[in-house]
Amino acid sequence: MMISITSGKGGVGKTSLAVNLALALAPSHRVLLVDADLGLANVDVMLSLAPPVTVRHVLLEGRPIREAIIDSGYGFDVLPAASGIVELAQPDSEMKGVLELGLKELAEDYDLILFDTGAGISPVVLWFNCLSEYILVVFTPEPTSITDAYALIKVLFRDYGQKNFLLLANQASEKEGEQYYAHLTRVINHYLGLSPRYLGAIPKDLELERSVRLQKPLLAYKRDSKAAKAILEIAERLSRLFHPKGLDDTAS
Amino acid sequence: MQFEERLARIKAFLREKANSCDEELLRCIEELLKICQELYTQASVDFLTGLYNRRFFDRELELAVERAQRERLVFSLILMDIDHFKTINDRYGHVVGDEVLKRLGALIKTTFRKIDIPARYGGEEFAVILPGTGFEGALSAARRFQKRLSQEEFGPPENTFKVTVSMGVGTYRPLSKLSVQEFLKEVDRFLYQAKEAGRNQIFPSSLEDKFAPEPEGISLEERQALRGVWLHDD
Repeated sequence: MMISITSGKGGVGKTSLAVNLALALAPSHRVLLVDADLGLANVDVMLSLAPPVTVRHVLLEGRPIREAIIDSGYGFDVLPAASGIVELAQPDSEMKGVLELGLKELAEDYDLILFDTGAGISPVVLWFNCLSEYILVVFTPEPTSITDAYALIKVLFRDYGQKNFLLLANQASEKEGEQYYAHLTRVINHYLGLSPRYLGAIPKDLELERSVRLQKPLLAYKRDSKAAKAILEIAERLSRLFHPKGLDDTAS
Repeated sequence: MQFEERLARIKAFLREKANSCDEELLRCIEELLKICQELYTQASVDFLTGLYNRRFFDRELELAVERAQRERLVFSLILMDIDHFKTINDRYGHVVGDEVLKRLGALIKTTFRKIDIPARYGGEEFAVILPGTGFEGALSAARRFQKRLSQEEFGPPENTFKVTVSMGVGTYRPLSKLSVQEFLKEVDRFLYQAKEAGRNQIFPSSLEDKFAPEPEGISLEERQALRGVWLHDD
């Protein structure tokens, strides 16, 4: 199962969400977090990793993709991106081919592959979103973020036929998140005819900012903080999505 | 109802009644069904290339548009035209011309996926419907075909020549609500632009080209509606 974490607008907290979600899901799933902003690595910074081999060696030097995978130290694996490599910002179709093959191969080793995409709606962002079964769109309660999230969903649906969207409100209270979701999903439904699911809201939390500065996932730093609890709940909802309840029971 | 479905129903019905039927009559009906099948194939396939014919294709395209609108799916259409086909016919004769059409048909069949629907659309024009495929996927399929065609040699061994095609690639977007005719016209215009660009071309050749003439992504109306998301006061 591949899930992309995306937002259109930058700076809404995609990467810290991705890292913490990976950590939350790791005990019960084999999780690989892919830093999908290929030319501007962020995930390794968040986790304070120093990967010797990155996606750059895979795409520009032909190294096998497995050699680039590194243990995050928190129970999940990471496929790190490169820092400041312009050629990787917009990979050509040959590189995408190599990456797609590699990811499909890796999909056999993991229950869950999460893509932390870059901001914007560049071809490579759209490409990662199209690889995924679910597209998790993160928004914050701001006009720019809402507009960009809507525009991204529209492009992915209109031009690429993607339909499985999940919405998540970041830096929003529970009530705020629900209200924003209700309004946004009404617009999406009216103009696109889609009804994306709601995963929940993550409140503003100073502990989160602190954890970022310490380059530690919030869930490892303060698991009982407000934001950490919200993330754990969201992870639970997410895993229920791909393990419909009672499936194991009925199978036997 | 689709022809195959109707035929399958009749066959199932016959199997059910087989015991209570006169054996000779049964054989006769079975023979009749076989002829029906053959005629159907003849009526839907272009005999020279083995691809679907225009009649069948038109119906499939109509179904694809209907399905896209109902289920909100995208699909793509590639229209291609052999470059300078008249010259090939004039220079090498019609037997060689027919051979080119046949070989192209075979190459289309092996290059595109099983779920795609390739047809001979006109004299030297071909069309392929790619169900569930967005623009990028269709474009890379078109490029793959162009590349494979470039590796082929045509004509008599002592006097071989290359064949190229021009292609127009269009993606049907359910939200556009285009009719079959309008969509076909759009892709046909792309094909024309590919020809104009000097043969052996694909148009549009990138997503940017395709969307350059489009109005902005979000309409004013959508913008107004989105304001309600952050201006709500409840």
